[in-house]
Amino acid sequence: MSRLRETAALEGHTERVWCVAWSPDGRLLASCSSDKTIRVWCQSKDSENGWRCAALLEDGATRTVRCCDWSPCGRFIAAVSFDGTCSVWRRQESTTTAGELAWELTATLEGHENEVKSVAWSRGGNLLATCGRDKSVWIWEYDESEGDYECVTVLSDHTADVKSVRWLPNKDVLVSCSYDETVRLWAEDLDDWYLLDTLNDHTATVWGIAADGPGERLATVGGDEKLVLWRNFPDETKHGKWRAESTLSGEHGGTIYSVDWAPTATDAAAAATAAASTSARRSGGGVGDGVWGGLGAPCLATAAGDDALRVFYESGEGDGAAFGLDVEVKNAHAGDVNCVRWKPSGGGVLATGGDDELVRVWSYSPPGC
Amino acid sequence: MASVLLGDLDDFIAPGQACINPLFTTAADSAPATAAAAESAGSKGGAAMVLEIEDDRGPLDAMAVEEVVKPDLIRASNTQTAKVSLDDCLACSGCVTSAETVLITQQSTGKLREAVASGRYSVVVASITPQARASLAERFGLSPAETHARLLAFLRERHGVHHLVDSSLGADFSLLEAGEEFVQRWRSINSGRSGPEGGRAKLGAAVGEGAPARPPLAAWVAPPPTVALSSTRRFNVELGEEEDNRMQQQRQGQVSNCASGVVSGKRGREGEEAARNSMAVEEGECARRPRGPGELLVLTSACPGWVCYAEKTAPEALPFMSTVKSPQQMMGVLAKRVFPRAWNHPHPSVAAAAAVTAAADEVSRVRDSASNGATPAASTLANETLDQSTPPPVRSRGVFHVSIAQCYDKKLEASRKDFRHPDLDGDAEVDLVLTTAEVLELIEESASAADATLTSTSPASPGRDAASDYFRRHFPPGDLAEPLAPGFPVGQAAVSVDGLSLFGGVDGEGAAGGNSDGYLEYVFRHAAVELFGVDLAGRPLVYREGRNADFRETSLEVNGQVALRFAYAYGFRNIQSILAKARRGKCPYHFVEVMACPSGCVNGGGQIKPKKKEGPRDTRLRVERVSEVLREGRVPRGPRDNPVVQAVYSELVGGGPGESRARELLHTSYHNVPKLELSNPHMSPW
Repeated sequence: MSRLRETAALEGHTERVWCVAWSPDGRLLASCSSDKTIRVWCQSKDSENGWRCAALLEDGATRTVRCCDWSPCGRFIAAVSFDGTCSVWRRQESTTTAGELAWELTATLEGHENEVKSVAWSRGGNLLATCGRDKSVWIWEYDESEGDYECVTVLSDHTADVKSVRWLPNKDVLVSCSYDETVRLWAEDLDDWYLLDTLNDHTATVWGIAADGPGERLATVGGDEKLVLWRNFPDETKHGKWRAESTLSGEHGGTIYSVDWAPTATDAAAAATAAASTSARRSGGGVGDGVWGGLGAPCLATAAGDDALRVFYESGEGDGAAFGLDVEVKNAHAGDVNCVRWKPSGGGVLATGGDDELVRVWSYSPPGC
Repeated sequence: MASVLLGDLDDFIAPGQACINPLFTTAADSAPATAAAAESAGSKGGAAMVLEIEDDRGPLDAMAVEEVVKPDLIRASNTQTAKVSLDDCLACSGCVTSAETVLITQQSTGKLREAVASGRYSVVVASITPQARASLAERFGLSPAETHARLLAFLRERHGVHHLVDSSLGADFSLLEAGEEFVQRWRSINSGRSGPEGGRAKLGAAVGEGAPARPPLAAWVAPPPTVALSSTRRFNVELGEEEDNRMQQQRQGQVSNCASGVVSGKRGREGEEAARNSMAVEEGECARRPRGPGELLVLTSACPGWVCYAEKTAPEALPFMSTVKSPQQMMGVLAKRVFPRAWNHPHPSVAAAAAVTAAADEVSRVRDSASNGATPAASTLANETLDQSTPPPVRSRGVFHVSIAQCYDKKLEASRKDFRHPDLDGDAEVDLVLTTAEVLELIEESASAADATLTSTSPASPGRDAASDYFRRHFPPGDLAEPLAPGFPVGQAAVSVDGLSLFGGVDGEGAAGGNSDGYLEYVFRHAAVELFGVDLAGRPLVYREGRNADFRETSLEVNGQVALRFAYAYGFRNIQSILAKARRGKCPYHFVEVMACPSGCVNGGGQIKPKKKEGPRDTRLRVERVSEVLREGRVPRGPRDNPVVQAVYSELVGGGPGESRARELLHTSYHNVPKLELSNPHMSPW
């Protein structure tokens, strides 16, 4: 049996699926699509493939929903659309009579001039970053006194469409990537956000960013079909310096759209703790995952325009350590694979979204298992 | 070249690098773009580039390809150069402000030389903002007054400029009109509304019971898209016909308010409570009282970056904008309409006291002209004046007005058709805008030219650079008290008549607002007196800092209730906060002083910056230094104490602030710029 196999195909979206996102405890999976909706999926013993659609979030956007992300507390989903808005949905405590999760649209963030491409919550859940075709990256802050989101900064150093934003997991440093072929890092100083660094190694649009659990390494992917790994080298400055560590090319047959760093055992344990603390008041959640031992070594997954899903595994020790292609699924979707995300609570579970309108769930076993 | 600085603009609304509107690019430019687009679509496996309508990867990247194949307007060969005027920029929604290539070609130091050399102008007037002057003063380590005096000498000697006037002379008119406009809008909104329920109905729904009929209040809705034709005419894109600008101004003046349709009923009733409480004490005023915060919203419009942004991406804000002309454009009115009168006729109101004759006038002007005899225009003028017993009258068209400002977007403002008046034969009020950094370039050019000829001179003293040395050594201060025209009550710098203190600066300007032109401070005090009989003269306003130093608010409480609530919102992020609040009908402010630059105009994109890129802390320190210099030697003075104000209102305007003739001359209007997608469907395939 293949070490990377599909465990479920989730049908429901009626147009291409752009993005998938696991809830922080790994119990729920959100997906968004050109069909203007967000679907929230949960595992279910009653259904054939073990999954059911627990909620359909409609009427938040008038065009494609391009990206969605869960708040660290798991109670909010932020979703951005080509209609220029960012919608924030809040999960209600109750469920509907049909057993569906109830969600409420609590805020619509306007400001981008046109298509918004990506959204990400900071580790503390107080900051929200968005980016888009207007070449800008916006940071919004939740204001408890107003009960609303306020624009903290608009960063306009990118010279073209900004494709994606992700926060570092260990501090409030934002990473963005763009059609201008750069990856940029942003930090705050004296109330002002500023451009911390620009990483220039890509030679085409940079589509995806992922940071590892400790926030020491970054992986970026793009139209140059390269997977670039970056490492943070501490120096006299507050945030250190990022330098390219290695580049993997030749493994992909098309633009790489998405990359994600597999959780370590520590990450998964943190997710499990979060799950335990919320499970008491959850009624629609899935099955718990128990203690998971990790994958044994750092591991990355990529989703690409050659319809394939790939997993890269790091082998070797110290300076000799290097990522190599471990397994690939050539026709993971019948069309581009737009997004790949590891389940944060571990177990080697992945989700992908593709042009074939499907969300697929996968199970991966590292070499030697 | 200014382009280097443009790229480093520390302004949150940065200009585009190159024009993206394919209407202005040549066929040769667009061909590769199309090819690349097809390729891009092909690489995704699609057959035709526009098949997948909402594809993040196909047509969209085709758009961006257009940006990569930049039409370089400056370096392109003559046959290929697309002609884009700043006026085109204003009517195009492709960039928020304008492509910097266009800015540079249309408004540069070269244009000043051309104008002076053309001989078309008999008088060249420069105006300088206090913020720009402070930036130069900080650079040269001089006081603002000395900087002004030396700059006057420099511009006279090297660039054929006759007068250098402090633009706060014009800013006073902006303040007076803004104060009156606020009071008028307040009264317009709060009149005829004495119903018990406060009338905070949902949009379009009936007004609260018992409230008399009143005009429908403007909600957060964009006006129809229009394009400016002149100061009086506009083209309505929706109707396809011309309109009168003044109608729109009047509409704005009467019905603007803060998204009144969606303010909650609860808030309305609370406000009613406030009105009732205050009624007990001050009965005479209660009809004008607001029923709740957020009913009236006035957004200042002196910042051209903010105006461009609102016109192109937040047109819903336009009905709430103040229609008052900015200080720069007020200076335009003075330079083109008021100064010529003064030059031609000794100022009547002060003629007797001034005891100057027409002969003195002549002598004075001959002297001015002689001082720049190198230019053909000046020598012609000198000959003419010598040959005739009376000088030829200076006409508006014979005045060239150059504004020295801290801001690149001021160039765009000056180019607006809204400032082309039919009775000035369609001439602009401001012919050219130079930024502070560009003026420094002029000085540096002269300095290095002087260096080349005077190689024997000792090297620049340590700690000071060549330009600074040159400026200090070669240009002894001109006489700031020398009147602009015989009998004119204001001197070259718009300094006080004793020649010592600079004008400008209203009470309490030490707060954040002092870095711009003091709208909030003045309007707040004016409204407090006019609407509530509270005189705040000599009392500093107390500010509460918001989420950052660029957001501050202050309020006036009358009988324990908030009567006025004003805010500063500087920088793009705070503009967004205000817009977001207004959109939701939750904007609690009556008046917001809006500026696009963080820290306001002292930190304008055109200010002098160090050659090497500075970090956020360095910028902050530099801005603080310039702010300090800005306040040096300024004597707080109400706009009515400006000696020109009385004369202009009585002689030119023929009425007080806010009256109909003042609305024609001293106000302007804004446009919902048609979306690029609408004006050029080829631009975006979806």
